[in-house]
Parts: sequence; structure tokens; C-alpha cells
Amino acid sequence: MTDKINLKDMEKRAHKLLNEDGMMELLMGAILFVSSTSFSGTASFTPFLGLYVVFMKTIIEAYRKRVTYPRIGYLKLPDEEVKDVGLGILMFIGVIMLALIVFISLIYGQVTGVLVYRWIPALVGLILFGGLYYNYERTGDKVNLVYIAIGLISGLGFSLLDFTDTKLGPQLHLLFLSGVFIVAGIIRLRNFTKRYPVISVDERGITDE
Amino acid sequence: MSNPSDELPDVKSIDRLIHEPVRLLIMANLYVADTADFIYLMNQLNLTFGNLSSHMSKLEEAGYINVEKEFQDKKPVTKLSLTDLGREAFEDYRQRMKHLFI
Repeated sequence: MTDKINLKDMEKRAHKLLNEDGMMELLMGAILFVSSTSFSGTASFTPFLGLYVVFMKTIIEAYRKRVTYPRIGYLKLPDEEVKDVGLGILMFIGVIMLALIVFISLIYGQVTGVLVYRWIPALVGLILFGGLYYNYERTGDKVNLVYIAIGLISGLGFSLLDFTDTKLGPQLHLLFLSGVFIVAGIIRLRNFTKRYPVISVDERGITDE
Repeated sequence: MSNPSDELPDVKSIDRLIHEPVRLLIMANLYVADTADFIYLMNQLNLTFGNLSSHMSKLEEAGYINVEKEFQDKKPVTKLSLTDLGREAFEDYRQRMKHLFI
């Protein structure tokens, strides 16, 4: 037992607790699944992304009200500066894309659409690395490192494989990641509901499970 | 000859309301969270309803925490958050405790 109160650890534990409900994985799985359809030409990703941005907070809050709060209690953590986080994400993606283009031109001596499509899985793996590492830093939850490894290894693997259709590689990779996150989300949700049964405290303070 | 207690002004000025271990943990939890409810704090601190309730009342009386009672799906929910005064008091307490020992 420690005799110190570590506020940073306390904050991490609170973030981790909120992260254990599987919501992040399920949301990511859904986004990656819809993203994969953008390569087939049958569905457009942009409207979904717009809807996601507009309704993200509502979706998250509805999920937590139904699943998370009845089990661990209500917890609202301070809002992060959305502007700063958004700018950071855009800058990170920009740098990664630029690095990929430089990488392709150095390896192949030219940058073509076919080559860019080929290396999109690696790009996705790197983008996931950025987001998930940020989440790892915030929560201390090591499962993020597993997702990072899966994202990077599968991204590299799908980029090195030869596909008959140039769009097939990125599409299959996104479908694969979507499946990984949805399965992981379901498992985490199941574990969360088992570990934290629904509790309620009535007006007299009597707790029932 | 000077009184030893006069040489330790920081000790005398420590906020005794926050210094109590359970209240200190309540304040620390609310310091890192924006808002938390009764169930969350009871789980985190392993407290009974009555115990948490009595400490909560003391902190509320001092103006350190804000207590909001509402109903969600016909169930009572008590949400707690630090007031500006409570945040300042907690930060002041931390500073004093940091400087207390060499």
C-alpha cells in the first residue's frame, strides 16, 4: 500500500475505468467497417464521418448511461481541448502521409496511385499507432499496445501482399481491423458487465445489486 | 525563548477539514474528475453510503463541493463536483503539505 496520493495515477485510473466498457473498440470497429466500404465504391464514407462527428458525444453518452454508469457510477472527466486534439491529429496524419510519399518515392523512384493504394494499410497502421498511443498515455491501459502491434503488423503485411485489385488490399485490411476491434469490444463489454454488476443506491442509501 | 509552535506556522494553517484522510481522498478524486456520483466515490473509496454522506455534508457546508440531486430513470443520482473554493483549498493544502517537510 502506498502512502502517497498520486493525482496523475488517479486520473489515469479514472480514464482506464471508463475505457474498460468496450465502447472505444466498438466505435472504432464501426468506423473502420464503414471506411472499408469507401474503397468498394458502393458507399460513401464522408456522410458517415460527418454524422459521427455531429453525434459522437450523444452516442458515447447514451452508451455510457445504459452500460457504464449503472455499473461504476457516473464519472465525467474534464473535457480536453477539442481544438488542440483535433489539430494534433491532423498534423500527425499530415506528417505520416508526407513520410509515406517520401518513402514510396525513395523505394520506387516514383509516386503513383497504385503504389499509394498499396501502402495505405501501412499508413492506417501508423495512424492507429498515433491515436492508440495517445490513449495508452492517458489511460495506462496496455491493451492499446496490443492494438498498436496488430495495426502495425497487419498494415505492413497487407502492404507487402500482392492483390489483383489495387483497392482490395486497403479494403481487406480495414475489414480485418474492423473485425478485430468489434470482437475486442464485445469481449471487453462482456468482461466489464461481469466484473461490475449493476448497482443502485436508493434514497435511503440502501444498495442493491 | 520562543514557543516551538510559533516556528511552524504552516502546520497550524493546514486545513483540518481536508486533512481528514477520507475527505482528502474525496477531494482528490473530485479534483481529477469534473463530476462524479455517489456510487463512483463509494466504489473508489470503499465507503458505505452513511460514511460518504457524512463527509460529503461537511465538505458541502464548507462550500468545497457542489452537490446536485437528480432522478435518472426514476432512480436518485447524487452528483458531486468541486467548487472553485474547494479547488483552491485543495491546491493550497497540497502546497502547504509539500513545504512542510524537508
